[in-house]
Amino acid sequence: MKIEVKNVSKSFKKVPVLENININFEPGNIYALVGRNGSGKSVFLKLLCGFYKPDAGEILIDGIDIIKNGDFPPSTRALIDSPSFLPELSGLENLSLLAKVQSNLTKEDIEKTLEMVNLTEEMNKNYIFYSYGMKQKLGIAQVLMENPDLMIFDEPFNGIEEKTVIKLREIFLKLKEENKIIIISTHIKDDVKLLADYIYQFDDKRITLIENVE
Amino acid sequence: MIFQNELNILKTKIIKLFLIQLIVLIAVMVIFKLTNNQSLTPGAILGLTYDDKSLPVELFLYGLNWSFAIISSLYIFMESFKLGIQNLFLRGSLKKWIIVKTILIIGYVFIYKCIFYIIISFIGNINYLNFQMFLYYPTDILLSLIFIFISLLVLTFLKSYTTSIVIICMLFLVILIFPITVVSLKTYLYILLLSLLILVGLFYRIFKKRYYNIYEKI
Repeated sequence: MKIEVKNVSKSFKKVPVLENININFEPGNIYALVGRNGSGKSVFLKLLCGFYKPDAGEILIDGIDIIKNGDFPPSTRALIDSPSFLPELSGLENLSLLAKVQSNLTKEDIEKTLEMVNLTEEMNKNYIFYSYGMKQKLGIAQVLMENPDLMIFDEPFNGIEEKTVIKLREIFLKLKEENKIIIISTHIKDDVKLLADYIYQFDDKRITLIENVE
Repeated sequence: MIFQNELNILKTKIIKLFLIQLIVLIAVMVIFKLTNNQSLTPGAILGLTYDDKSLPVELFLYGLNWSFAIISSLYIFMESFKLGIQNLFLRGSLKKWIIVKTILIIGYVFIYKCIFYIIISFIGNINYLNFQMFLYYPTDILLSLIFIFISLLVLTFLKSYTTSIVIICMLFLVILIFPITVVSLKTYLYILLLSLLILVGLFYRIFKKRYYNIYEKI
């Protein structure tokens, strides 16, 4: 999978948020998007997922413009904004429900993913009783469970204890070796310094490469 | 599978909502009865009929019953949006999910009314359970459609669900002040069709406003 973002601009109610964005995402890399709150990181991620339509420019996935020609971006999972699940169901049931939509994951597969994010003990607890950190972990598990080619995380480490953050970093690095594209946005640069191959800064409606680890 | 899962989710929600509504309706009825010394038919007690339009109590209970049915169905609809429009969209199942949800909500309102009709049959030994029962009360459906129409209009323009629900409740009471007379079947069907068309348009608009550009893919 290759993603090309060409001259993309987006504004809301005539207020520009992103202007003339150009960036490519290649498999086997971790990309970090940093910038202050409100700098347009989440808007950019939503554009990548097809939730927003760009005012100008195009987003190509393997050469196909997902906005014009695609139905939904292929093999993409995302955690953007707050995780959203059904409060009456447990974490395990919520993931099972989503897994049934497109894939054929077994209960064991889902349990294994929940173990990866250190949520095994709470997996049968109803979502309504989850703490902020647990909700975040479930959101990450939702992205990981189907092993997609493109994984998008908006502030994934918010509210998560250090032990799990370290474990998640290891998982992300392993996924990178499996040729996945991982995009992480954060307003704290230190969160991704140990992880990212490329660090991009969002500022003044534009995106700039500030660090190329490779 | 989505259908089955949705049903499982709704089961617990519906039972809870139904019990709360039943308790509130009976409590309101008891308060009115104690303070107004009026005798009510079983249908009026459960807010299913308002045979005697001169009794504001009957009209109020009737309105309350419909308010509960519609508001709780809207609540269930909005609640399950928590599953995540984004999650479903990325899995390519949003369209299917919306169809399932709409069917379930329409079903819910009718089942809700049917349960009350069953209860009234036991209480009042009245045979309300026949195929034409909804035609006996065309105002029920008409009123509900007008109510849904206004509710969606409010939800479209307001971001806060709480404010929307309060305004919807107030509007519903306004509608009740001007009770609709029973119209002919032909007129009724025309209005039904028109209301449905408006509903579809409003759903589209709500989606456009609230859920970014995903609506373009539906």
